[in-house]
Amino acid sequence: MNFLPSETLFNIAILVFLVVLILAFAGLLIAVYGFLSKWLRLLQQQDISGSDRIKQDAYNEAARILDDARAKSMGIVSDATHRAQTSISTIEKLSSESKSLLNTELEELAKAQAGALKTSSMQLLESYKTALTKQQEESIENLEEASEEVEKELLQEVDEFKETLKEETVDIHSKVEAKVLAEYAKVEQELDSYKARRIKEIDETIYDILQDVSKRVLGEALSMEDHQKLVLQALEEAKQKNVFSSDK
Amino acid sequence: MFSPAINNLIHNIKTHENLQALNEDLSEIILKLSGKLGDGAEVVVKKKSQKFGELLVKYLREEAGNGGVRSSLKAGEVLNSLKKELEKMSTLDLSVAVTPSESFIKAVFAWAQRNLGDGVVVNFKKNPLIVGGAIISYKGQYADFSVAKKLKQEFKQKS
Repeated sequence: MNFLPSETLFNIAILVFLVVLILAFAGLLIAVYGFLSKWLRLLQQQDISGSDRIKQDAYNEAARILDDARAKSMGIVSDATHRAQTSISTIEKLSSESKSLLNTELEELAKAQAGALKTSSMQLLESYKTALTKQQEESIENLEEASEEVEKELLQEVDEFKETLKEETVDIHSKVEAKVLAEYAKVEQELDSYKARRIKEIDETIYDILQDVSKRVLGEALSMEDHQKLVLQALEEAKQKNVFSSDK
Repeated sequence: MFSPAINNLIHNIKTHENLQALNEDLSEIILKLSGKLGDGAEVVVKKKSQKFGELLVKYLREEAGNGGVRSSLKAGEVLNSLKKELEKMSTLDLSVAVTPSESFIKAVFAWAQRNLGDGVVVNFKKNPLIVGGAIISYKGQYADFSVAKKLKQEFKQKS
């Protein structure tokens, strides 16, 4: 804050001191006037029963003194005001000079500040660029890392899914295989059963054929005597097996 | 069981077929005799039953003497009694593979008389499928002793 010259500050201090002094004096006069007014009122109250003339004179004298004092004080105030105005004009003049000087100083300061600001801006810009580049690089790096992480997770999930799928496939395969084997065993059993039944049927057919052939051959081969003998044998067998027992 | 006269008669009735024929002849004779009075029964019997006429006349004579042969009334009564007696005869049913010859019938009938007693006739039924032997049915009893069955059992055991 040392952009004002020291002389200007001194002048301003004097001017302020004078104004304060004038104001103090004016205040003193107003205090005196107040005191005297109170005193006169007191006198009027105490000596109202005295000689009216004396009192009136005294009162008038006091009033005159007061008027003089007022006039003097007004003059003093006016003079002080005039002086103050003069001082203010001086100060304004001084102020104008100071303003000019201040502007010059400010321009210089502004230039200096602008230079500094430019330098700072450049530095800041450079830093910003650097930071931005760094941030960008970090972002790219982070992005790459994130991509790699996502890729890794995705691949892991795919592997897990494949594993799960494989397990389920194996499970389904096992179930299907078991079912197919069971069905196969069932079919095989049915086939065996069918085969056995068919073989039995074929055997029976063969034996039927053989039986028919035997019957035919035997039927044709047997003579009447053979038939008679066979019938008598049958009757004997029946007798031995008590077929006729109810009659015996 | 039967009188000697009936026994003499039924010894000649070997088959169920004979018995049926005899019964039919008897029915006709009895019918004929029932409306006729006087003698001449022998003539009627011989005329109505050519196959059994002689046997029946012999039976009438054995059973009722000469009167039985002459008197239609008497002959009718005796033959009615005979008819009722014949109903008591039992039948031996035999299914055989061939139509039996006379000697076959005689042999079987002889066996039946020997083993089952008098008053039995044999009822032969021809069934070539049984091949040989016989399927026997007698008084509610049944037994298959046919060759066909034996063959079947043999083949069944082998199968």
